[in-house]
Amino acid sequence: MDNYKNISITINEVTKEYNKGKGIKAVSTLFESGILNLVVGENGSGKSTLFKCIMGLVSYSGSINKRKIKMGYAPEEYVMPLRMSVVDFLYSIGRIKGLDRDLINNNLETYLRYFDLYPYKNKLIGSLSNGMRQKLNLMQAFVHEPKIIILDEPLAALDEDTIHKVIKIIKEKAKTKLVVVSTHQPNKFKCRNKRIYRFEKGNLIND
Amino acid sequence: MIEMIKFQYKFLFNRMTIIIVFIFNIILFIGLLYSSSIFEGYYYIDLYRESFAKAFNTEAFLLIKVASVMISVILTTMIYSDTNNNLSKYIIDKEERKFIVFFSRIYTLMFVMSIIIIVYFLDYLVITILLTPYIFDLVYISKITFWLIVQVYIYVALTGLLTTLVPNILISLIPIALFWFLEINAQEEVILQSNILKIMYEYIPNLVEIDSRLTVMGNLGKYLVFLIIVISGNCLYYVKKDII
Repeated sequence: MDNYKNISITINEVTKEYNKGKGIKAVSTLFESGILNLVVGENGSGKSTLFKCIMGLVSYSGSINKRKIKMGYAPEEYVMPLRMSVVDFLYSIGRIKGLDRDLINNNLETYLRYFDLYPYKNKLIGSLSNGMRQKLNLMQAFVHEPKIIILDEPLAALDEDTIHKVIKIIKEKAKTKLVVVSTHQPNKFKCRNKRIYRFEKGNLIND
Repeated sequence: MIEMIKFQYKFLFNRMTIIIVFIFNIILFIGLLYSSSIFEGYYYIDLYRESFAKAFNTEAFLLIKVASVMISVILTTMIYSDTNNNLSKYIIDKEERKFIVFFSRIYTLMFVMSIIIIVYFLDYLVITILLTPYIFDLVYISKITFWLIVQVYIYVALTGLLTTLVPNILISLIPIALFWFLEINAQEEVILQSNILKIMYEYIPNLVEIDSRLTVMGNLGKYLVFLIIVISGNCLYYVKKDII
């Protein structure tokens, strides 16, 4: 297995302000592979904004240095194409991110079975429950085998069984990849190699 | 880029869109049948072939034009919807990918609209050849098809720009209003009397009947420049815009 211990994201004085005064203020930190990076904080404290800055979804001041490698991102608000089938959606994301057809099909089967969505693979996304859509949201971040994985509130809307599965897979991925997770339940992630980043009102208060 | 275009195509061609496109085509086909006057009887229209053919062509091209512009505005509004915008979150992992998302949308719309317009003209040809005694000029039809495709590209670009600037479905009424404004004034004498209309017709193609032939009042160069300006403006704004 490839080892990506040297992957990192360096954030220097990143500021993003929205009209309503929310956002992040002069955030500087470092996310590294090989450990589980947990970002915690209240709603509106700036966790999602930081992720959107890292993904290049929003403009910001300051700098973010990261290697140009595949990134998987599961946003908190997952608006999905309701009239597209589960398998079509995942396959398309995998192909857009540059993964080989056979590998995508293998990964699809693996993840669909792992998340108990295999029987629903040909169903339209619109017919899935909220929890199933969250699973799909997470699967699209894993399916193309990214080296950097950013998950925004991955435990939201999930039942206890699925939460255990999600935590297990996140911990597994964190051993070899750069994984950053925002959560309100950091205690559920029981592992030695984790680092907690706490946000408060747009500021990173400890690192 | 190809995979992104396929994705946009899958997004656009869901069951609802196919039904809308199909219904438009059925309505257009019935409209063309009605305007062909075949219900008057084949031998009767053959007797006054020229006058019936002229009336049929005028009505048929107007119907095709209205259907094409309407469907282009609807499809553009769909592909620039919030849902599609949110899909970008799964795809963009560096700013450069925003360009790919942007151009895949435009390309998909232009390709799909070109096919739809060709199908509309095939409807016209099928009715003309199989059901009427009218003689058609294929070169002339091809020219009209070409200009209509250019016209629809501009409506796609304009609708895309407006939807990006103001993400509200009602904003798509503006291009439709613009089309109707140009359409109700689509007479050579009226256009030449108004400076505003002259300028608008110079940059936005709309077929006008001049000497019993439909043609545009500007030239391809100006239309392309206008199209490129609108698309570039939209692209720059989209790339700078936050995807929240």
